[in-house]
Amino acid sequence: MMVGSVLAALILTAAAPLPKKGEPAITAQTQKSGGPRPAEQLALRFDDADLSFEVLPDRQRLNGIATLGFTATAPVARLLIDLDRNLPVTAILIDGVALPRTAWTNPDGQLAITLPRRLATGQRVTARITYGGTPHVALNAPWDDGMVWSKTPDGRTWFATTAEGYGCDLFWPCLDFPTGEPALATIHITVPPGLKAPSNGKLLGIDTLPDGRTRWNWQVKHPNTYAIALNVGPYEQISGTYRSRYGNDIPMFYWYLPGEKAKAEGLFAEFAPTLDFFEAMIGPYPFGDEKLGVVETPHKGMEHQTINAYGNHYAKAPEGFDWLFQHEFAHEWFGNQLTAANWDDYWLHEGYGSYMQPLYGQWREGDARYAVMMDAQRGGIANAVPMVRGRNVTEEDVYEAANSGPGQDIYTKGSWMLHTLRYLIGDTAFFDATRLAVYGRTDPKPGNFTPRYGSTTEFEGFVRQVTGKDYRWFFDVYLRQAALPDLVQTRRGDTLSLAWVVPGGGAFPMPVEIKIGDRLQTIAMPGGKGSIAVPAAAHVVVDPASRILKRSPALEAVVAWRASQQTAGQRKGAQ
Amino acid sequence: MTRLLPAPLTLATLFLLSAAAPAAEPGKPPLTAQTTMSGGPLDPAQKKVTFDSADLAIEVDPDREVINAAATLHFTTLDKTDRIVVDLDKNYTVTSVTVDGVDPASVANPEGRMTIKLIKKVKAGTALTVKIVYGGRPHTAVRAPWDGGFVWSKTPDGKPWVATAVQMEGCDLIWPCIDYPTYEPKKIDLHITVPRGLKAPSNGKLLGVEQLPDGRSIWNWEARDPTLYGVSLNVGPYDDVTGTYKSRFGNEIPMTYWYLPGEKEQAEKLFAEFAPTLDFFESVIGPYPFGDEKLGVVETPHKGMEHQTINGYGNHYAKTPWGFDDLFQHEFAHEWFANQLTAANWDDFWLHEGFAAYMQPLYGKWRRGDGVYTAMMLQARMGIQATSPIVAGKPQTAEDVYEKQPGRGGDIYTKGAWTLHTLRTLIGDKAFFDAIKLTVYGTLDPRPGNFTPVFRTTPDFIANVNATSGRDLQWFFDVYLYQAALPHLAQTRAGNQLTLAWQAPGGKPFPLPIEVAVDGIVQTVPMTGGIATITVSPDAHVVVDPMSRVLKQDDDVDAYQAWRAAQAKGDAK
Repeated sequence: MMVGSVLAALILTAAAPLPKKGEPAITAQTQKSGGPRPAEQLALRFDDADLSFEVLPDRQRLNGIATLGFTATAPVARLLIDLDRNLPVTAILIDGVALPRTAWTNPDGQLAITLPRRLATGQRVTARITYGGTPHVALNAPWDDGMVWSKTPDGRTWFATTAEGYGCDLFWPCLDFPTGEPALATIHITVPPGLKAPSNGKLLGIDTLPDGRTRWNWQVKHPNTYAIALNVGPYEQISGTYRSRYGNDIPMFYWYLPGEKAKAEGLFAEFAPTLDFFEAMIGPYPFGDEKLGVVETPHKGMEHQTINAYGNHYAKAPEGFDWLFQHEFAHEWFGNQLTAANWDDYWLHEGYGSYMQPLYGQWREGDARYAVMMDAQRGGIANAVPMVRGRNVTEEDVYEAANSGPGQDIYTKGSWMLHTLRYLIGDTAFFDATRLAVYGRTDPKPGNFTPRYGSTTEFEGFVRQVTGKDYRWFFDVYLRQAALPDLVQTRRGDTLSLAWVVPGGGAFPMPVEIKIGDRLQTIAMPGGKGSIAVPAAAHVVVDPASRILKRSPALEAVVAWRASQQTAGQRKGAQ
Repeated sequence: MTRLLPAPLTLATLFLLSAAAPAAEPGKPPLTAQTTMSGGPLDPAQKKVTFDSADLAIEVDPDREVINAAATLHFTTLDKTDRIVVDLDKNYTVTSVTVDGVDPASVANPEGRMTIKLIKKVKAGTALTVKIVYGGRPHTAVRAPWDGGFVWSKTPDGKPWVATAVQMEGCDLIWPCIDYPTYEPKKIDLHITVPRGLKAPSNGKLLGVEQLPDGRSIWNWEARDPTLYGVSLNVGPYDDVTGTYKSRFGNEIPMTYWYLPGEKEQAEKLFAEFAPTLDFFESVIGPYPFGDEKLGVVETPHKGMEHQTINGYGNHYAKTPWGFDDLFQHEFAHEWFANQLTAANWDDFWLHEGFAAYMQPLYGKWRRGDGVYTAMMLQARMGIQATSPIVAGKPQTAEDVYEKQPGRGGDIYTKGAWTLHTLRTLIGDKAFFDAIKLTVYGTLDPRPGNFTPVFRTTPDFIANVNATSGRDLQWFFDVYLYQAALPHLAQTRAGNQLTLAWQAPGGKPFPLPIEVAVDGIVQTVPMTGGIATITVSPDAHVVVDPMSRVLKQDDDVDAYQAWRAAQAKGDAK
């Protein structure tokens, strides 16, 4: 199937030099992922994708044939498909019929295909697109994206891809926005002899080609668009089966570099107890009928669906588990099963994804570990930009503080917002709302749910549904304002008065625990204010268990001090 | 002293020490083994005297990096003796020694231990006044405060800035003394002469500043019961911020912070921490021991040291997430745990550092509650090495404890603090703080004026814990203080039974109760005889010691430490 294109590639690029990091340059259109979409894309339901990748690591080239099946949800005369123009299209068949070369253009990373006939609503179309070229090479994956070409310690080929920031269109023709998931993707990856290509979903089989290369065939349901990943190396593999509390058996795989068996087995041994935690606290592993898959990568890590990338070098941590594996794995629930329909709601991935580490610490070791892990996250919160801005934005609009996005706050502030919410509404309501967001129901079982798209607004609705109360005041402050609520304390005579001062000036009736001497009590704070009689000599600690995300002058001083040290350092450096 | 941490700024300052003709070199002049050691074996003649008081007149000459001094030492003999033996770095040139105003029979100081032979033997109960005039280039520290000596530095605008820190090597680097913890003089008078424009804040009460016609000034201080390594010189063009603290015990405590010019705003913020920190200590431990003198802090070119009533501070006003300056708070804790309560032997060093290190989480809890306390404790847990016991049960020098046994120098802080944390859970706050009060003040009802500094040993503290708890807890201390390894809690789950069994090092008994959370419900398992079995449904989620109240061996911590060590080795390559 691929022979023709290989020959073409050889002729075209025989003497081409290898791309450097960051090359070839990509257009703004290709760099962005998500955000507002053209009508032509919104008019398509993405039914299935059959993706053949032929990777030529020696020349750092990628050739592909993508067969995409769509159903029109509104009349549409042309297909607009996202694809990096560094991967030029050489042929397109629509429903099996070749198009003339004049029927498509790709000036800036959006492939426009004029259809032979206009599609009516409900009509299906299949586009077979042959393309190939030099894919963009990442500078610093996974914080930017592209190919990550590397070598194993013994000099063998090892590479991977990431695409969360720039999107799927770096490697295959796709609809590069969160709801552009195909219902089914079949993936065929052809690699040089001696290499393996673990990927998403279930392994259908491995074909050996006459020239010694192998083709790895995978199939995955509802893959996240940025989740489809190439991971190629001379991997060794550990596998096992997890017997779920829901009665099903889940196959588990870890592909790792040769020579690391003991460390790999140590990491693999974390899979089952981690699954146990998630299935007990959140609900069924969403992809149990496919696999739990982890693959070692030359970049730090990424939540590629059922083939999580792991590049944490088996680092040990005081909390006794590998936070990176645990974090990426959390995304199987918060990212892959529940996908934010708009990157504006990115905190649903990263806030939940980050909250799962302290929650797992609590599961394993108790409240002390939970407290110390929450505390470690608290220092990173910047509060410069609201986490949610109520408009359709791209991934980098959110992730990059340099693009005026909330940046890392979607992790740490998201996690602390959930910590505070859990305190406010209690465990039952908190986890029920979480299950509704993840599965669309509070009684998930394998087989009674499929991946779904969610949003902040929907999540607020779930909280309202399970508590019977409207917590808009809570989400308005924590998600839609940059600054944190400030708890103002005044002690006069025998009275301690507390008042919430919140950005936006709205009501903030957040109850506050206070410890007077050894006695703990809760002040309800109706209307955001409260007072209590306290003997003048009594020692008072407000919010002694640190349950509430609120302004901290101490942390503000740390930030200012660090900045002043940096300035002093620069001054010294300049001298 | 402060924790063993890299101090790049201090080092940089040292190396930048500039070209004044014969500039002091770090580590020079070298010290003898005798002078390097602090708290080692006493000379027999030293055991025959009490050290009543000392009067030190020291001129500090920052330009030439030398001192010139006259020390007048008052002893009373406890037995008949024909000699007085004092410790003094032999790098000093001694120009005169008199006893009661006349020349002694002989003076020799071959190794830093000066033997002064009296012209005739004296009987027990004789008061002797020894006057020693000495001077020269003192030993310059390499990396104060982790090793000691003089720190000759400059302020950012190039003025002299001098400090001393001698905890490891002892008082004999600065003045003639008996370099052993219990040989504190009852009183010390200090007269520190410094060049024009410089100040010399020091220990105790300021009696006055004399201006000399040539512009120099003499700073006269008086301190009672000074810890030997607490006597320090601090010279610089300081500004100061001063105030008065109204104590809950009714007395008023003067507070002063001496800082480098140009830092007013930062200095005032640090000063603003003094009163609430005092409030914490006086509420939780007891009266500030030196309220009749002062609370004093001075900015130093080294990281910090618990110099009595004149704490060295060199933390650059670093801010912490806990909202207080942990270095200031740590050094200040030593006013109770080092200066009021002084370990009778360096073997009991943890009575200084374990307690002082525990005061930061305890202050975190006082200010912000259990969340912060827990975070601070678990952070400290990562440092525990558990490779040497923190108490040996035999006399030790400061360096024996701090540097010569693997892990012990750090563990006297972290393992010491965790031992106290575990003890507090075991016996409850009332018995815990009462035992501390007894150990620090010798009374459960300390008030300003009804106590003086005390010397204490580890067995003293254990006896106080037994008294206030009404139990014999020797088994607890036998494991945590006198054994290197941590106790291990073995857990076995079979059917609907969970069995917990302590395995203490040396097979020692260890009936320490443990909390167990079963599906979120916490129960305390008494662990009588060190073992217990409880009924737990097979699918229940069990967390042992969910609040991390107990110091115990932990596979996760061990793996983390091993990984960190491997990484450090890799970095070194």
